[in-house]
Amino acid sequence: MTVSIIGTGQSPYTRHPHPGTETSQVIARAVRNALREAGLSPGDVDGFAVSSFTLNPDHAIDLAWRMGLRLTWLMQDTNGGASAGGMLQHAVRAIEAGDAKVIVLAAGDLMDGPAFSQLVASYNRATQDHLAPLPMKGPNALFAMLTTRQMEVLGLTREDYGHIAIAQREWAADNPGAVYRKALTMDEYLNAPAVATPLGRYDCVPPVTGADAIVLVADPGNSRPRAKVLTVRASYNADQQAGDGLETGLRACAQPGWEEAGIGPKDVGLACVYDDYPSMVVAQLADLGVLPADDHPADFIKRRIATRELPVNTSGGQLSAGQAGAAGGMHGLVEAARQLMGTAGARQISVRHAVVSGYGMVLYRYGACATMSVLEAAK
Amino acid sequence: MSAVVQECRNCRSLLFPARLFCPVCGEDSFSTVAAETGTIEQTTTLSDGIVLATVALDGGLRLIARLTGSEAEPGQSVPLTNDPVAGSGANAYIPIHTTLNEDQS
Ligand SMILES: [Zn+2]
Repeated sequence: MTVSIIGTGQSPYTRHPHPGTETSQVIARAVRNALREAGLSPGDVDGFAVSSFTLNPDHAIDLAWRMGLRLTWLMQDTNGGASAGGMLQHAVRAIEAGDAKVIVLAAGDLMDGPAFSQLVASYNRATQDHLAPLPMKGPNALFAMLTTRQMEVLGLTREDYGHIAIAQREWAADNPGAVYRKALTMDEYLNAPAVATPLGRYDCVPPVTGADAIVLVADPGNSRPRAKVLTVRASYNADQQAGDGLETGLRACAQPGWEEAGIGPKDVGLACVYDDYPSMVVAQLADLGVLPADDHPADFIKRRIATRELPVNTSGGQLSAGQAGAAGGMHGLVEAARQLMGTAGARQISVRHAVVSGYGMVLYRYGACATMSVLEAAK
Repeated sequence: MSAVVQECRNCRSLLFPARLFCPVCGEDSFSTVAAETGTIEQTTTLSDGIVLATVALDGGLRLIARLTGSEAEPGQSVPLTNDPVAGSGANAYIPIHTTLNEDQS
C-alpha cells in the first residue's frame, strides 16, 4: 500500500460548546488544522470524506461547498466509531485508483446535552422501538451486561478495568486536548457513582463537542514525517447480533490484516483501540492478537498496559479525552498518526508501528462494525 | 402473558428485532409467534434503580428487557411480556412498536 497520512488536526474537545456553535464549524476547524500541518491549502484537496451524527440537514457536499473544496472524490460515512477505518479503507483505494490525490477525512459532532439525548433515543429503528422505551438512555446498560459476561469468561475484576482507565488518564495528563487530565486513583475509580452496574462513571466516555481530521496522499517518498498505511480491514455484522458481543469483527480482520501489513501483533509499539468502555479495550486487543490468547488478560493489563510497556490509547483515549460523537472513531487514528509523525508533544513515545481499531454502531445488543488499520512511521 | 418475536417460516429461526431476510436461511417470509418465558442471563441496575436484563429464549435468541414486579436473579426463568405494567411476580418487559411486522400476513 502506498498511501500516507501527512497531516492531523483537531477542533479542541469541549464539554461546554459556546452557544451557537455548529457541527460544520467544528469539523471545518479540524480540517483547517490538518491541512496546515500538511502544508496544504483547501485548493490542494481533491477528495473529502466526513462522518457526523449532527450534520443534518447538511451532507458531505454542503460541507465541501462551504469549505470551498473542488473534488473528484466525495463520501459520507455513517458508521460512528468505525467510520474512520471505513473512510480510510475507501480513501486508500481511491488514491491507488487515481480518483483523487489529496484526500481529507474528517469526523466531528456537536454533542451537547440535547444532541446527545436525541442521538441515543433515535439511534436506529431497533433502539427507537425496543430499547429507548425500556427506558434505556444510551448504550451504557448494554455494555454493562457485556462487561459482566467478559468478567465471567476472562476472570476479570473491576480493579482490572480500573488499571486501564487509570493508565489512560496518566497519558491524558500530557495531552492538553483531553477534557479529563487529573490523575485518577483506584479508590476514585472504584467508588465513583454507579452508572449501570458494574460500570461506574470512569468506565464511560464523557460526551464532548469536537472534531478530528487527517490528510492522506500517495506516499510522498523520503521527504517528510508521515504515517504509512500498511493495511485497512473492515468487518460489518460478523455475527448477526446472535453472539455474546465478547468477540468483535476485528477477529476476522486480524489475520489478513497482519498478513498484508507484513508484521505481527507483537511488533506494534502502540495500540489505539476504540475505548468506549474498558471491556471493549480488552476485547479489541484480544481480537487483534495484541493480547495473546495464551496470556492472562488481568496479568496482561497490569504487566503491559499499566506499566506502559505497551502504550495503549496514549491520548488518554475517549475515556479521558472525550467522545466527540462520530469523531470517536477518528480519535485513535489521529493519535497514532501523531505518535508516528513525532508530533505528540509531551506524551511522544518512540514507535515505528501502530495498530488502530474502530468499533461501533450498536444494532440491538452490541456494536456491529469493526475496522483495523496498521500504520508505519516513515520520513 | 407473552412477548412477540419473529419466526422464519422456512427454517423456524426465532428473530428479534424483526429482520427483512432471515440471517440463517436467507428467506423473507416470516410469522409472529408468542414467546412465553426466558432465562435471565445478566442484569444491570441503573442509577435510578431500574433493572435491565439480557433474557435468553430456548434456542438462544436473546432479548433486552426491563425486570418489573418482584426481584429476579440471573439463572431464573421469567415470564415475558410486551406490557410495561404486567401483573404480580417478576416479569421481563420487552417493548415493541405497534407496527412490528405490519407488512407480514
Ligand atoms: Zn430462515
